[in-house]
Amino acid sequence: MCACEAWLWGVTDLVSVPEPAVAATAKTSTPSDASRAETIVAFRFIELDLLVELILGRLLFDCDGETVRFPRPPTVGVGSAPVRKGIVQLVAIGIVIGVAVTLVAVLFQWLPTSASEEFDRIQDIYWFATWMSVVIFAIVGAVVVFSVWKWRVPPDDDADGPPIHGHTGLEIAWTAVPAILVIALGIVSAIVMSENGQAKDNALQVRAIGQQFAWKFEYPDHGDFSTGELVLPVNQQAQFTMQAVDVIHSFWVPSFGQKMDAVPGIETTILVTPTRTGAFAVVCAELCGLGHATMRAKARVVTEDEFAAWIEEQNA
Amino acid sequence: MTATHPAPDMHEYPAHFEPPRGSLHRTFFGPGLVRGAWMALAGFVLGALLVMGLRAWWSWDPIWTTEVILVVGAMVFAPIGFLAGIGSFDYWLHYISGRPTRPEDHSGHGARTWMDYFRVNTDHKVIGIQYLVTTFVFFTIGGLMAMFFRAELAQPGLQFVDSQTFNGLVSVHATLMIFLFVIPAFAGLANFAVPLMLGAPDMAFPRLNALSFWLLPIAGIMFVASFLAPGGAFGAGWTGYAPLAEGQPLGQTFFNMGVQWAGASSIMTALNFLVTIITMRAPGMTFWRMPLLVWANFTTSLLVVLATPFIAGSQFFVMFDRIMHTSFFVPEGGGYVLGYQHIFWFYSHPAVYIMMLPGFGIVSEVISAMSRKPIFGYRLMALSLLGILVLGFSVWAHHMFVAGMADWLRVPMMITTLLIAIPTGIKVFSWIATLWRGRIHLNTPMLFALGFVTMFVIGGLSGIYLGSVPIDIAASDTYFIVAHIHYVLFGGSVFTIYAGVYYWFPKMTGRMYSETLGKWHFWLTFVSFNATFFPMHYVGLRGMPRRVFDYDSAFADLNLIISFASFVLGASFILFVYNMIVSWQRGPVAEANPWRARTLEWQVSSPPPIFNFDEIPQIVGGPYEYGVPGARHAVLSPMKEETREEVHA
Repeated sequence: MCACEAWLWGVTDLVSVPEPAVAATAKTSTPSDASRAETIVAFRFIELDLLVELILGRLLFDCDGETVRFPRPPTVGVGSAPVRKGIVQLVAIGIVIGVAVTLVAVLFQWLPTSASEEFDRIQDIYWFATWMSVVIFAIVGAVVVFSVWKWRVPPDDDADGPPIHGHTGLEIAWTAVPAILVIALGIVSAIVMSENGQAKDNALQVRAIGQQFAWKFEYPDHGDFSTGELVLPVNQQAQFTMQAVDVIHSFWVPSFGQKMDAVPGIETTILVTPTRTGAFAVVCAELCGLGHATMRAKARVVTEDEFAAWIEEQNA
Repeated sequence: MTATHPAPDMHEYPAHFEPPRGSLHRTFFGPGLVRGAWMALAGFVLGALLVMGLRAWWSWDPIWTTEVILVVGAMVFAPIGFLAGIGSFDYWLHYISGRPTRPEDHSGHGARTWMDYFRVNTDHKVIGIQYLVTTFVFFTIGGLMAMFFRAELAQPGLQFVDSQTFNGLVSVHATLMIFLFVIPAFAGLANFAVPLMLGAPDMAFPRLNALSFWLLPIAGIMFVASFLAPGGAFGAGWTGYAPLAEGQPLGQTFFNMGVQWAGASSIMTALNFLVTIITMRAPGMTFWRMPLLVWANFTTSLLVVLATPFIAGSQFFVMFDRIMHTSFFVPEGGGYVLGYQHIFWFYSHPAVYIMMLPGFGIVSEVISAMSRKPIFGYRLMALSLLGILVLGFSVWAHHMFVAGMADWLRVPMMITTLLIAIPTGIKVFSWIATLWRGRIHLNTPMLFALGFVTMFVIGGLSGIYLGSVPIDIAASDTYFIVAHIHYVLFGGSVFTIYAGVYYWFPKMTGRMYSETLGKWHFWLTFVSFNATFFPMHYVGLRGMPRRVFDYDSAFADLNLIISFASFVLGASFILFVYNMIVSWQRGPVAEANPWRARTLEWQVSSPPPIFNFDEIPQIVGGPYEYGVPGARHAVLSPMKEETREEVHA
């Protein structure tokens, strides 16, 4: 093992142990440490040791390629029968937990049925994140359950476990793999975000105005009226411009999967492309005072003809 | 010429400045709760007169304004009067005024009777216990509030309370749990354990330490007392978003000012920890030999001193808007509404780590000691804390993905948010690798530590969902968020606090808790916790917004189950309280080191001597060298050992 590994695992104290290192005792390690401690006391006032340790991390001092030996835990051959059995058991527990969590994820309908193009794309990332979570939870759960089941000892046991300080390969793996996973999720999310933010030229302009405790909708391109009911034509992108009269509100239609705060003093926007007709709930999602819970409205998605008829009716 | 100091005259420098105990004069004028009470009252009168005097001088009408007098009299002058009354400033005032300061006779150190816990005490172990008992009192109050509004939420519609009271209950519950339970409970555990682990006799600034504890009940009483204000308690959520908070009744002021006292308390404690950890490590205790609890509190303290001033600022701005008619967050006056959220979350996101990193430290101690193995990848564990510290400051706007902030901020904030999963993942994997091939003692602290690891993974994974902007757009401000924060702060922080309290209980009290009751407590909590909070993910994604007293009847059945489970969760807490109180009084006497742990606090008696160590210990190795033949963490009495060696030679 290289000294860098020893540094990483925090076992540099054993670096100074002369060979044979297997019989490392406090007696042999004390003198060098004591002299080190004296140095630290001497520099305490300006805290040089703090600077050196924190900034340089003793990299310059320890990682000179010198080989370090310290008592290695007794190893068991990977191919041996008990180890094979253990691996099978561990994997079995992992599969059981994974299947259980998968069932929870698929048997319940966690998301409302999508009613917009934007929500369809969001649901794709949702499932990406869900499969990632199922695997990670199954791994952690399996190791915890397996370890406790396999290596639990009675309270009066007074032996110690094997002195395993670390494993560089494993540590690199569980830094790199999650990094790749979350960056992948980040990229997918950024793509969906950008797709969900592409406003078309022919988008239907809708103004959503929040005030304590009701929503008001206006259609600036279709006449000068306002309504408490949101009506949208199906398969036609709508661009909402949010305004708030008094405090912050948040426009949310759970079935569209889109949400945006209406903030006093600024205008915010969000896009929705409804994909099926029907009635949906508009909910205020940001605490806005006494009537926040009841600040709901109805959204109706209709065919293009019905929408034209409705506009006419409103302007009449 | 040699200057000779006059010999200390015992008449001039008596050991006690106060008249003897028991006299009426002493009761009223000696430091203590009685003087605290009347000086608080005097402070209020002084503050009120100051306001009225100034208003009369400028001939403003009316002279009496409730809100201003409340802020100045009741929330600034009265608390200062109280602190002066109980004696927090006595030493400093003596020093400043040139009167002879009291020589340190250690009478303010250690607890000889239970009454010593009710006065200004400079002993870090006493302060640690004061912190813990106080925070658990507020935990009880906050928990009762939660059960109250869960009763309200068992059915759609309003049954028990009006909507202002409901909003008040929700807001005060969150505020108490954050500012009066999780943050100070960790400060309490660390107060007790960190100086011992460093081999130090006390914290660096014991009087400051005492002061920062006594600021805490002031904040807590303010939050709870807001229910008595006309118009009810503050009801804008613990986030207190402007402009809603600016239009709230009087109760909002209690939040604005209470946060200042709680924040001042945590800043002082954090400074104290930083100075203690940097300067008071025993010889040989390099940074890379510090136990991970010390590392965790070091990083947490850095977070606290850097971030906490921001919430103080945000609340002052809101208060100025309310009573001085400024327009920081009033758009009509040129204010910027989202500015509040940016400042608020610049504290409150790091606050999430302030509420989690000390728990990481506790769990590292417990898992290593109970698995009888060195912590896996010690340095990477410490470095990942620093990684979280740095990243933690660059993610605040992920709370604002739907707030209408600048669009370009979303992607960078999403990336940094997701990157935090890496150091956090390193920690989780290292804990489970520490378990691997250990000799696992499955006692109560270990159960809570393992419960923490699994539940925190769920909270972390739901955090990854929320880190992704498109999913967050669908899920933010819903019950999914409520589920996520409770998996992180209950399954995360509270489980680690329980683990820590059980782990150090024998050290603190010198007695052993009941293992059977502890295990019952764990399993009841674990099951009812999941039954309470897991279904919230579902109702949230399906369309139930948070902070509502009324909801769609489609969610009625699940909410009834959630409410029922939350009562079981509340009931499980009774087991804990019973176990703690009875064991503290009559539990079997604990050994000095019941867990055979290697860190320094276990090498002294239980409870530790008043000044912790007879001799400053000499640190000779890492803190977790379980199973390494001959390895030692510390030589407890280096002088004695040297003498012995000489004798042998």
